[in-house]
Amino acid sequence: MDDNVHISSLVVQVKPQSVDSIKAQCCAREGVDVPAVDPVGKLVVLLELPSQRYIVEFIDWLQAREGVISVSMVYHHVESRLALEQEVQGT
Amino acid sequence: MRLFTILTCLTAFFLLALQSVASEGELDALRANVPLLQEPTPEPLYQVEDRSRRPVREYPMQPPTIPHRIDNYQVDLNANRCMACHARSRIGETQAIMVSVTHYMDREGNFLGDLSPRRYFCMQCHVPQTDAPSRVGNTFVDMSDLIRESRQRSE
Amino acid sequence: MKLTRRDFIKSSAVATATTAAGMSTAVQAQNIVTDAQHTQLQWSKAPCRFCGVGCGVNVAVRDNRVVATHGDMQSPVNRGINCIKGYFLSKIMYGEDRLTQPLLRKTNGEYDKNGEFTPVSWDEAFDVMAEKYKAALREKGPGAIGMFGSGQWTIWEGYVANKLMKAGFRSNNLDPNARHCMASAVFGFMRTFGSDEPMGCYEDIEAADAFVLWGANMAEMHPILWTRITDRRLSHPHVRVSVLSTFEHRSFELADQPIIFTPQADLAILNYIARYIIENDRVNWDFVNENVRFMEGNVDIGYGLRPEHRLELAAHNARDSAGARDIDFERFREFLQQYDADMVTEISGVPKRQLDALAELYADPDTKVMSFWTMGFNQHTRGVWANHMIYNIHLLTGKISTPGNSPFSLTGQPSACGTAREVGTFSHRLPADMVVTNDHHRRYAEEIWRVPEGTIQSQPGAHAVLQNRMLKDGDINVYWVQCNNNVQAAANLVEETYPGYRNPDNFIIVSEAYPTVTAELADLILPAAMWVEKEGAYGNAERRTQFWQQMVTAPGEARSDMWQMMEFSKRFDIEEVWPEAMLDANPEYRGKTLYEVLFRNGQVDAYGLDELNPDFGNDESHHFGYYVQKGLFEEYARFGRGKGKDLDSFDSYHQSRGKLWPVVDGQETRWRYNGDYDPYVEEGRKIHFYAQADGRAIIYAVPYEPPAEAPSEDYPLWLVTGRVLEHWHSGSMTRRVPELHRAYPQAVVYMHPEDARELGVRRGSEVRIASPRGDMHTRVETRGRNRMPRGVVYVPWFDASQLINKVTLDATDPISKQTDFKKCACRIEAV
Repeated sequence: MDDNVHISSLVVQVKPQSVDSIKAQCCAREGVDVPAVDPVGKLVVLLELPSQRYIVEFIDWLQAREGVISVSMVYHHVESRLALEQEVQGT
Repeated sequence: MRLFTILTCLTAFFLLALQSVASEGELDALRANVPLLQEPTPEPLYQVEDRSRRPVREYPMQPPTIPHRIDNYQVDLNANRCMACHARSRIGETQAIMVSVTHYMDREGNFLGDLSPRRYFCMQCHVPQTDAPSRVGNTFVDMSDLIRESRQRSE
Repeated sequence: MKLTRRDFIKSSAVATATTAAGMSTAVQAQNIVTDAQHTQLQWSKAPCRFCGVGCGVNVAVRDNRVVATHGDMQSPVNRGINCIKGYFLSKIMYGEDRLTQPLLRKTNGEYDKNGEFTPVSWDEAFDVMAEKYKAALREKGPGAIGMFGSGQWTIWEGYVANKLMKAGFRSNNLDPNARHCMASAVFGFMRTFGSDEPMGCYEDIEAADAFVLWGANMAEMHPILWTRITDRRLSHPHVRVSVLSTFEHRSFELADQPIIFTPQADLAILNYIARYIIENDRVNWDFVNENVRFMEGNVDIGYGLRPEHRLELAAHNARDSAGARDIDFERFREFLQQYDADMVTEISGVPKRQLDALAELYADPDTKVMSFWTMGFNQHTRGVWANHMIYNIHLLTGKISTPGNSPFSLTGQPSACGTAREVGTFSHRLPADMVVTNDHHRRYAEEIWRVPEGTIQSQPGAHAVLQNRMLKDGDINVYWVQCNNNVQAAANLVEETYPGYRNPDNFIIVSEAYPTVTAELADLILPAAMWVEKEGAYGNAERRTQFWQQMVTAPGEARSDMWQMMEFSKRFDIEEVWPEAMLDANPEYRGKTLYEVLFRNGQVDAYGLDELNPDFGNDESHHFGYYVQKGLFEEYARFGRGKGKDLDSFDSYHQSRGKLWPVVDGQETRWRYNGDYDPYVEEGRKIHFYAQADGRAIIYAVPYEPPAEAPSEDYPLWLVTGRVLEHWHSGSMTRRVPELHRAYPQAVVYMHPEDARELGVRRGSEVRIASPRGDMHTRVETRGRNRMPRGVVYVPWFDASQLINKVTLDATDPISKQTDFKKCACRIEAV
């Protein structure tokens, strides 16, 4: 109905040897970024997706990856695309 | 800087008010400034705002307030009236906002097939708003205002 | 550089996740945030400022202001959720009427009790205060000085108060507001187990098969524990929830067994269950034979009213309320015989079928039961007995100290346990369960505090209710209130609280963040720093000690309570507070200030500023020149180490999400008295109540006795008071948060629609609630979250414009001295 953007962040625990592979697989998907990596076995995954369904699908997909131990959503925010493009700056 | 100017003004105003009259009952706005041994007329029961606009959240993690009446909603062992509209499976029909995906996570952060039981009683975090006037203002500042000020200072 | 809202939200999302993952944002943020210096928030952990559950929150700070809070994913207590109050923590410090300067009542530039509040400097405030303290000491001695503190004090604030009052001014007239909420639980624990605070922990919830709420409305008062119980109940269909109360409230939404009983009848129901267990041969004899002994308590013990009150004169054991003698099991069984179904149903109104279903949860050896109680038991003229009776049941069945089997005393304040109880700020206590009446305990405290033998007085000081009476009678003349709102909270406001504060002989000091009704009655108001404006530590209901850092500075000249007390102590030469004889015997103290004796003792000042975490402020340490909190904590921790009350090192608490004491070799203890978990248990024993000399917990034979006041012809209704979900205690913080205020803007009287109809009033009508002590105007509510039985009304006490404690009775449990706020008689009239 409305043109919303869902911005979420996840903390993903992975086996240390899988860190690079999981990061690469994530970054290859649209709307997904991996802004922070701890080589010990943690990734922060940032999602900008058009709906909840996409988020749930992505999480399902991610949980099924070899080397992923757990996926936890930490942050979730929904807002219209228009509002998000506004500059946060006064005049 | 504007924020601090406002705060200073408020403080100054408050202190001025104090210096002029500060006998008993003048300080506590939450008592409507009535001396302790007197009984004020209680305020009327305020109405719950219904079908109001979706409220602004002043930080992203703030639970949204409920913008409609919830009188006689059944939320107990047998039924959850809120989820009749706000569940993932229901929003197509009702066009209500789906509860946040965090509500599908268990204590350890694993995703569940349905609403997490730990989130079952909605009113522990989400509450309707009445039209009661504020007795005391609040000077909380939205982070985006602080960011704007910080940018202005640096430019 | 252009910054959109999308960029900003993204940076918040990443910052939150990196914090939750325990990764450094500083390094990572550069990768994604377009303009990090403008968008970064500093996130740190803190316990919630409100109830005793002790949820963890993450607090975001920017430009010296708190801008956001959310549930801490890493906290084992709440795993990322808060209740509605916790979610709005970010706004509690920003009510626009924060107190920012000391205010002294003055006329024509001079202090005058009837003068107007006038801003003064800290110097002038302390000068006037010190003059009043010194005059009281000179004229009447230390007994004329009193202090009323708080279960919301940080651990070190309570510790400073304890030391300042009991060793410094040598007055035991120090009590916390926790007297109103936890004292009955304390006496219950001490008399039954010899050690305060629960044996179990919140993890019991995930192991239990049944939950019994004794008068507690956890859905509103302990919402996050309620989410854990709800989770357990709905995920595991065999789990049963039993809710007992004098009226129907939100916790009944989850109840499999809803039970409404007549006020005070909980005592009879508890004894019925004990009798049921015995008569149906369900006693766990292996457990009882090894771990339990029996005593019978004195009866007819009065109601803690003024000694000349007719009820006290008539009470046989009013002067020996705590007395008890040894008995055997057979006598206990015989004692219980009177509590048969007919008698208990008659007293309680609960049918036998319901009584038996409840009793069976406890009796069934295969059902792990967790019992919860809080103000329903503790605010009770027989509160200590009620605590004993619930332990009786758990001890008879051996359902204790093992995962899921847990009699669990909830707390109402964030540090009722950590500060009021563990630090021992009660008028009879010292740290680590020690008491002023014990010679060895006093000596032990004097040694740790490095003060002369005989410094601490051996008589208990005045407790909360007695303090108000002594203020009214002019026996306490200088009184310092910190971190609570007792004029609103204490019972019988008009007769017993108000007169003492306005007594012309008295000087009242109130340290507060906001102008409360207590501050209004003060002669001097001192502006206080709150929550994350200072470095702090709280201890929650499951023995979890939690630390936080100072994240922002307090507004204006507001200062922490700790700073206020320590700085004030500089105004006294030791010769002005200690008697000559004591100084003659200990001349090395001469020439020092009270501050030097108490705080520059080589222990409190042992840690330098170089040990401070440079990422955070610490206004007190920079002021005094050493790491005050660390010195105080390490000195305090010496009291409990090796005594079953061990705390970990100061630094470790800043790293962890808290630990459950006793912490031995860095390891917390989840189930005390249990050999699998507790290092204090004797080798080879499964259970060992080691804090009792003979290792046995005590089952007490104590009876049902009637309440101090019951409905009569003139005052035909029961009045119950309490709290609501959206507001915390007297509302001074939550009512300044617009969303919380608008959610529950004013107090109302909940009553049965038929009771209302008989009075000729309906929902929204203005009414007057009256007792012989005072009256209050409010409006009728016949709908909403509470459903009242006929003859019982409920009024929350958070609303300063509706002071229900004008109506309540200041009867207390004679053993614990805790007020019964849950039952008195009242009349309601249409206005």
